[in-house]
Amino acid sequence: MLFHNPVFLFIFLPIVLLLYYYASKYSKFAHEYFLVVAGFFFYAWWNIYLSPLIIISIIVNFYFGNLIKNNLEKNSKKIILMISIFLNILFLAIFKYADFVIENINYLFNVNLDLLNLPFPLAISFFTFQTIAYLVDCYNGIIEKKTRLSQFSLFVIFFPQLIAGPIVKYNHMMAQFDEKNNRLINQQNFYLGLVIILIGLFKKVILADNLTIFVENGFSNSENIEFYASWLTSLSFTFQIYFDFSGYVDMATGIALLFNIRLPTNFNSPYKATSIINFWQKWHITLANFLTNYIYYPWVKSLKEANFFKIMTIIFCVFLIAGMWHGPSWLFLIFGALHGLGLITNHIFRKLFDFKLNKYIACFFTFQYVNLTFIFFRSSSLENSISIIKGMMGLNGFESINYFDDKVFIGTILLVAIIICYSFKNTNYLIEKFQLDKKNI
Amino acid sequence: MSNNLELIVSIVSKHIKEDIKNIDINSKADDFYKWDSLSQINIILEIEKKMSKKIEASKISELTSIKSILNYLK
Repeated sequence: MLFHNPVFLFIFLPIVLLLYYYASKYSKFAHEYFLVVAGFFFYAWWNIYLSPLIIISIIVNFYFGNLIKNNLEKNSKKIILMISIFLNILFLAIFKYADFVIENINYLFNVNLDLLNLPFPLAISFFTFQTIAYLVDCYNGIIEKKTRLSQFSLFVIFFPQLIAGPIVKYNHMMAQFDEKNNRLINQQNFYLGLVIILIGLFKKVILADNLTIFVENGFSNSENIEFYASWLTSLSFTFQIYFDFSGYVDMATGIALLFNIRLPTNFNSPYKATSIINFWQKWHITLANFLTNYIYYPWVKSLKEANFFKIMTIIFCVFLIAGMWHGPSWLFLIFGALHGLGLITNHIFRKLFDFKLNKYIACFFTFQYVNLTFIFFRSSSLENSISIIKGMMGLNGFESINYFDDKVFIGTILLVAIIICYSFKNTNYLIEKFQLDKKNI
Repeated sequence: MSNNLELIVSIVSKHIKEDIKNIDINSKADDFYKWDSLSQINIILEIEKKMSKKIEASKISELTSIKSILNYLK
């Protein structure tokens, strides 16, 4: 059940909202139990036979979290944390990467191992990372309070952010769920939530979904794709992925606001970034924060002697992980590697030169680099990526576009997407402004 | 406190390549484009070395202003 599905918007969401506010009046923890049940229902709607997996993950990790918190001995705490992280990564690896590993073994050693063909549990990457963050926070004493199973379940399965994030932190969410006033309808949050949902719907349904048709056409006809078509294809995908993902996150943010829950910002006008470093401060912020706080910083801190070269190597490895997190494909690894290299180049530039490029020039070059990396992200094969890039370089000729039936329509959608990206404030600004205005009243 | 402040400001100034005059107790990472995750980790590593105090990795992301660093070191 996706957010723009009418069953979700006009049946599931209104019923859950009504029952949530009704239940909250009568019992201290009813809101928690009710949202957990709604979350399971939402998850099971996609595939009821795979839904026990998330239940197993919740129960096992809840148990590990309590073990870590209740254990006073630092070494045994550390061992439990390592085992729990290993099991979570194994769980993710089996369902997401097993066939990818088998395919590569078959290719490398010329053997014919059978693929497992396991179904891919929805949102597994999101809830696994979120759970690992929880366990590490338990270890570091950041989560000290005793956690109830219903609280932990709600943290994992809160349906607005379950499928596509943002990746949330336990303390941030629980503080809001525990706040009594948040269990009463807040008209301003409610209206703001509805506006944000509409913005998200517009971004997803009008912009992203229309660009998808064009993108699919371009990428599936990439052989000898000529100059204009290849540029339009790559640009369309770069805007499509942004509007698709950020539109979905906007809907998640808006839906959470209907429950008086503020989700963390995940996108902050990323295409206005003036460097690759800056891009990752604005794109999928909660993933970048996870990688920074739970992999990059601890890894650098674990070095006996940190130097620029070692830190750059770690940054590159972290971006390989980021790339692979998106899915089991070498192309995602290339996407991660290119961003890692971009970041390293950026850091070297900052280390060696003491001047700042003009904002607009920096933004233009950053966007071009990001646009290039997204070709690998979207392509079905390396040949597919190379064809598009060759086309963009003019190596396949400059004839007029002949793949696309409705050039005016798609040109208009792309133009609207560009204008919105560069001329408008983002949703996060709207929320901040609205809440500031509310305080000033 | 004032010694700590001077030391922290000088460390931050060195790693973000910003004139010491432009940094004060109210400065924070968002104010300087060069105060990125690399500068942040270098600042923390140098504070640890100069002050002989271990800073937990889990705290690094919170110490993104002069004030928060000073409060942590109290």
